[in-house]
Amino acid sequence: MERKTIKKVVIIAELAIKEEILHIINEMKAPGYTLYEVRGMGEKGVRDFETTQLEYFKNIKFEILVDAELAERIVAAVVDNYFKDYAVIAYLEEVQILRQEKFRPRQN
Amino acid sequence: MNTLVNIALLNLVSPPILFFILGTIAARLKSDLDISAGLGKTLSLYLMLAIGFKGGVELSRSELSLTTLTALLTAAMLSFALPFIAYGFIRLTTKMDRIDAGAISAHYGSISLVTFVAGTAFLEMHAEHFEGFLIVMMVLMEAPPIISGLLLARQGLTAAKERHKPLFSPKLLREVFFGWTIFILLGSLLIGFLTGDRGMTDMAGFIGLPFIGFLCLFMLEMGLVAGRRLEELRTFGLPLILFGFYMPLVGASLGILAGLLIGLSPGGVTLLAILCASASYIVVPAALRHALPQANLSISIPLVLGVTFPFNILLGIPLYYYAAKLGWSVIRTG
Repeated sequence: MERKTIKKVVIIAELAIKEEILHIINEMKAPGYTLYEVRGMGEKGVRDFETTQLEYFKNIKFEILVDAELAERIVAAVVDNYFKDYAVIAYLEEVQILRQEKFRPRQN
Repeated sequence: MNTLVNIALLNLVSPPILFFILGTIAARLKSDLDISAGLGKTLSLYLMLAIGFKGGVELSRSELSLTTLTALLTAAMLSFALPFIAYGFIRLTTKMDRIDAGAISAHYGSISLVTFVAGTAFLEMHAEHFEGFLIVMMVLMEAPPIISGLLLARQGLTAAKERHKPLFSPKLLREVFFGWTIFILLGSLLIGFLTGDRGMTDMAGFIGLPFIGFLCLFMLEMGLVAGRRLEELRTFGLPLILFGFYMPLVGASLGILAGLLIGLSPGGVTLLAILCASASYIVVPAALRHALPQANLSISIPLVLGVTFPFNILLGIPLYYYAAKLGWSVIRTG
């Protein structure tokens, strides 16, 4: 089966900005995303999903498979709006996909 | 009248408090004792449903009076004013900047539902009645401090664009008024009010007898959460830690004064004191994360959970009850 190399945008962020990141993904007409609840440690200390009482300490991870141009725009929007004040990191990976028609930007 | 020592000891050996202490010890000893995320949320939902419903039933029994309206208005004004006092103390005693001081003061103006619930359980233990509208007072005390805290914190923002952003974004309003805690609380209050005593009969087996048991389970989790936050206090410095102790006392004193002036029952005065003394760690952080993302919540949350919450639960509540009773007897005999 034919393969194509595209980008995987990974955004790991505090739960507080979940809606905002979803908004960016929708606005940019990305074809889809995967969302996980994750835990970890970084500059802002241990962010542990098990601390059920405190939404503030919860982390989420988005994975978005898109072409290189759209990947750059999504990352730029996250950097501009949320890097300064929120617990968030973003990175890009190259991935090989099958069925490339599933990864084109939405038209509507 | 019971002595203060007796009341305090009776509180310390009550099951919810002992389970709280057990949870704290488990966290300190790094036991793998844990309450799953799903159960934690279920317990919160249960407590809010129960307390809202009971308040609604209580409201359906009473008539709307001038005292009720005065009480509701006073509660909202008190909670709006408290952050200004808290902010003054923090700025005077620590080197904290305006943004973080404003954020912390918003937490201390607002309320902790769990502390309130523990207060109602405490009053039940002493067979002390309280007015149903206290629940409504609690709800009214949640949002105003966020506004005053934001007003204070914004003085510290350097970018003019950020200083003049509207105070109420739709996101903030949704967080404050339709956040799940307020939503289930007010919804249950309404259902309790509509169904009244008949509803209470139906629900008694669920929210009556099992209540203390569920509260114990919840307090165990609170102990685990608070115990894990203690570590973070080490970097805070004494003045800030002390603030976590004396600010609830300041709030409670104002609450007792206001409660006596309004003419609440001793139980009602105690609960108003508890509301003024307690500090938020769910609603306010969630709201501030959007309205004031510059604020460092890694200060306020450990301070509330590691110092103020345990202080109120272990010593504050009996103390406020004792003072409320004392004030009440002075007024009656005077």
